[in-house]
Amino acid sequence: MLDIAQLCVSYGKVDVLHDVSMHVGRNEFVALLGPNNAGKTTLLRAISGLVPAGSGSVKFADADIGNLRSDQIVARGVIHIPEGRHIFADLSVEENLLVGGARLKTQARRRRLDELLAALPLLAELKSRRAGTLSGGQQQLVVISRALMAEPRLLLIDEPTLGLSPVAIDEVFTTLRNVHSTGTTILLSEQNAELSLDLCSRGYVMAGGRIVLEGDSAQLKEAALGKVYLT
Amino acid sequence: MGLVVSGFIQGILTGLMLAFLTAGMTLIYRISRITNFAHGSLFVLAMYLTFALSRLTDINPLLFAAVLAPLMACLGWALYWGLIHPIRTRHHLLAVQLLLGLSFVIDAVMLITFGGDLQSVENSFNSRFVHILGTGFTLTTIAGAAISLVGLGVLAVAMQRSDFGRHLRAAANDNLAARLAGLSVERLEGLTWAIGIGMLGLIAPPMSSIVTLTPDIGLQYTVLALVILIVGGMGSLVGTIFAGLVVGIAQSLGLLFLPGSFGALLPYALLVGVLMLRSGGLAALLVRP
Repeated sequence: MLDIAQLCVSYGKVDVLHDVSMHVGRNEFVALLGPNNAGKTTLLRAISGLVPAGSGSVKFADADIGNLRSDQIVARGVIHIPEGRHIFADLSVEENLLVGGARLKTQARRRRLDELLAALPLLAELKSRRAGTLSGGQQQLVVISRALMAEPRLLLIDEPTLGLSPVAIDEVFTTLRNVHSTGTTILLSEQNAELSLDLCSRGYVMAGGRIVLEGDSAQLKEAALGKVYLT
Repeated sequence: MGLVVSGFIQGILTGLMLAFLTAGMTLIYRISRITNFAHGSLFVLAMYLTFALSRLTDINPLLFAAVLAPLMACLGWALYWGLIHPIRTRHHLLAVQLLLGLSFVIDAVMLITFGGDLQSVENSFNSRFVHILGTGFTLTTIAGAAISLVGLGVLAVAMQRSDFGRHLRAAANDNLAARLAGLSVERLEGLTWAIGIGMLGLIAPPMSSIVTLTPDIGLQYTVLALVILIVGGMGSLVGTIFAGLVVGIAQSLGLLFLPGSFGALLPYALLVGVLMLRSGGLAALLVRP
């Protein structure tokens, strides 16, 4: 579904990604692991069109998306949940979700909103609250649901558990498991290798802007023992 | 006592118009984080266009709004894509410089085209009066205030209820998240510039029959709008409305009760006063819309 070949990205004169190639198949749940500054965030940003791809190719559903604008990429069903809970703090929870479904027609958007609120009772309870007043875990739930409003085919998630309490992390991972079980393909970037490998079937490990290791979860877990970059 | 009341009402009517004039600047600042230093000159341009049209035909100049609003909106749209969009990622002072420069260019073009003489747009509504609490106000003033009131109301509801308003607030809140939700933030900004400048085309026809036109008053309006923008809390629509009313009332009462031209200085004294007490402006006391 997502095919990246020899992707290089640079900010100005600084090369950030070198020759990155990866594949994410339909309905897969793939982990992207590695320490800070490994290039995980840049890779996700390059896929979603926030930073221009230098050389190499990014294909989604057999179409080249490497040169598209971010709104065009969203229109194809690739939805990126960025690092650091980018919530619309001054908008209500319901409005946050409605903006997430910006590309849907008014009726379809309402329908999608009702579906999500029915599936997540906590969200229904909070829908009139100003999003900025929610707890970190609740905000992350809103941000994930906002992405689901867009009816994603591929979800790119960057460090969703950063700064959350263990209970909130559990909730986020449960939500992601449910999202995956409804048929959404997920590429999850996480520093917490152990937790994410429990969830994912396969993974890639990045370091210094390159993919240094790939394999299924069991292989990566084994490799994780004793490897510094997988802490 | 009667003088205070009539000064107060005059202040409210003027304040509504000033608030409407500034609201466009507020929206533009909210989404682009750019202060439109050409706002006053564009407004004066719209008033001169009213003047030019009024010499061609005999219909009431207020009706020119139907032509001027879309015309000014197109100008705002073109201004965004032609001047602002190419430099939006550069230092924000570049945009300030560019817009100030544009304002001087507009002033010069108006001077060349219309000359430096004092002009005013004749309107039969100027000799018809509406009495409020014993004081007569020209129908032009009432019309201008009414257009402003309705316009501000529509804008406030649209900001809360419409897709455009919701998207604008979202993009102003978190640009990155708005992009990742699939919004074209550039198009949204362009649209906001079109609306903000287009609004000048609505208010210019009544205002041009109230004030005396010379080509060099653009900067005065920019500064006055800037005072309202800042007192209102930079980017808050409700704050802008309140600040517009406060400035209008201060100006009107100042002109009545302070000697000479001190009254006209009152809005600026107000700016200093508010900023010393509340750096967030009036919006710090109100809820952001």
